[in-house]
Amino acid sequence: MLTIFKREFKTYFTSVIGYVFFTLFMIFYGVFFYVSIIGGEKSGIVSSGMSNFFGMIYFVLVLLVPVLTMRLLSEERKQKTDQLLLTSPVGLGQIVTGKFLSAFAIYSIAVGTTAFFAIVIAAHGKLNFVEYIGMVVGILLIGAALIAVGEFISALTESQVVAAFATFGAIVLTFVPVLLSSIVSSSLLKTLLGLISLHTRYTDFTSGIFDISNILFYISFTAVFLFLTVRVMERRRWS
Amino acid sequence: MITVTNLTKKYGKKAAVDNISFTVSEGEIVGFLGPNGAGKTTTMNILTGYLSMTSGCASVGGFDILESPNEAKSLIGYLPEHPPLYSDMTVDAYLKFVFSLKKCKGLDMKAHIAQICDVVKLSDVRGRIIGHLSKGYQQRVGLAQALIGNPPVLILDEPTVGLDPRQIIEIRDLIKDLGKQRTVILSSHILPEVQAICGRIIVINRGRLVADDSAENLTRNAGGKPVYSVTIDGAEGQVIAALRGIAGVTSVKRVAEPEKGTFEYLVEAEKDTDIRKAIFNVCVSLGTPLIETHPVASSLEDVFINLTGGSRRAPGGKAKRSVRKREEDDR
Repeated sequence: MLTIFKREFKTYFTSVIGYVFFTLFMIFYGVFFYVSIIGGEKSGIVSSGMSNFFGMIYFVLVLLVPVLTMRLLSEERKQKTDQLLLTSPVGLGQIVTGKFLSAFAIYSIAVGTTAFFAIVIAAHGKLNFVEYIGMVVGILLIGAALIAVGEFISALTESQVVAAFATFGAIVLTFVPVLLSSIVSSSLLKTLLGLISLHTRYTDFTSGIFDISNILFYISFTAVFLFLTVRVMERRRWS
Repeated sequence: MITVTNLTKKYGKKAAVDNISFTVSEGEIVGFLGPNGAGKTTTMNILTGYLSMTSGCASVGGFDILESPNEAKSLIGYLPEHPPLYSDMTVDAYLKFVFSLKKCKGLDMKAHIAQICDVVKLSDVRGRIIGHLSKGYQQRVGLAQALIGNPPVLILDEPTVGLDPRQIIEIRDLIKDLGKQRTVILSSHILPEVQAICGRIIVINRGRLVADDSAENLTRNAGGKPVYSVTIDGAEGQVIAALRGIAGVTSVKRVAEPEKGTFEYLVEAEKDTDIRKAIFNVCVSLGTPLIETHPVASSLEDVFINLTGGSRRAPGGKAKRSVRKREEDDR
């Protein structure tokens, strides 16, 4: 597993993908940083800048997930390198997990850079540390869930482009319950939509609430999709 | 070492491999022979655990490929039809990756990789990106990958495809050498190759096993008739009549007129008869110079075509044969 992880992690930097991901991320990072700090300072409320900043970073990261996951398994199939992996004494679960972790590691590095933002806030204003940690954990968990979805989709196709677009579509779909719950009037439906939504739970983290059920929700969501990925690959052998 | 029992693989309704059984004992070099699409690759993919069978079972070194996949896989070095190379890695990084992927215990990584690179003659290109290498070198990297960890079983799917004639000879010698301490299965649709390397030949056609024997036995038992191409400078009718008169000759056909007044004939004789001297004597007695004579096909080729249901004497058969021969020479 570690072997797969290492190779995959390096590939992000021997191919253009890691650079594309970080470049896009950094551009948005800079813009949001400016908007939320300088903009926040002008309006006199620096600390509220943080949740603005995280709200925007959250969207960017979520929408950049397809870049990280599109080639994870599709490229292996296309280049026939899956033959090497699948005929080595390595379990499918280890292959899928190793690849998941490599994408998650890149994602985590991006999330980690927000520490810089926190330092700036702490130096020049008041940092709500609990809120900050909550946001980071929330973004990491939702990222894990979406990366698992992306890897699953990448296992379904041989084409990186198809995988990227399908994953992008799937991620956009995850916002549907949020949008729906804002227009339905039935409170039961609202709760239900909130329960299945990936994003509603994130807001708990932003307010500094560490609800174990939320954490479990994201972890099991991730595990289910990793499991499905293994099943897809297993099934291909038999078809 | 390898046991395959009633192996069947179906894609939908079509059986790619249909009830194949064979065993390979330790130290054997076995050739899988068959036309394209016969099921050679599918069989190899099942043996290595890349695909699963619809029914039947396969085991390597006593480990069932489904029940103890990791034990079985760790005994196998596999070179698939398309070498599974990461084109963005250097040769060295790739081989190190394979080394740790295969969990080679008790081997010194650096020394082991250096030794393998030496064996397959890759030492000069170890620092280069795989994607920039020529097909021949890529094939060698694929072979090196299969050799990592010194697996006792080597499964090689068309190992000489895409190589130039000199490389083909090198790789063949290398495989023969490797086969001294290992069990090797290799597939090919090139007869002379299988004949040159393998002690035993398994012929597969349309998913079925049609023959499993040594090259000599195959030719002896199912063998075809010897055919000679004879070019003689002399009047056509007279020569044909004289050739037909040779004892053991079953048919004579004129196929070409390479020079004016000189004709090329295909002379077919009965099994186990040598008519070369007789042809010479006929020419001497007629006073017609014998320009050239050579056997048209190795008899194993006939066996193969008989077994795989092709027709050798089809119209234009001669032309097809020479095209194929040329292709083989090119390889």
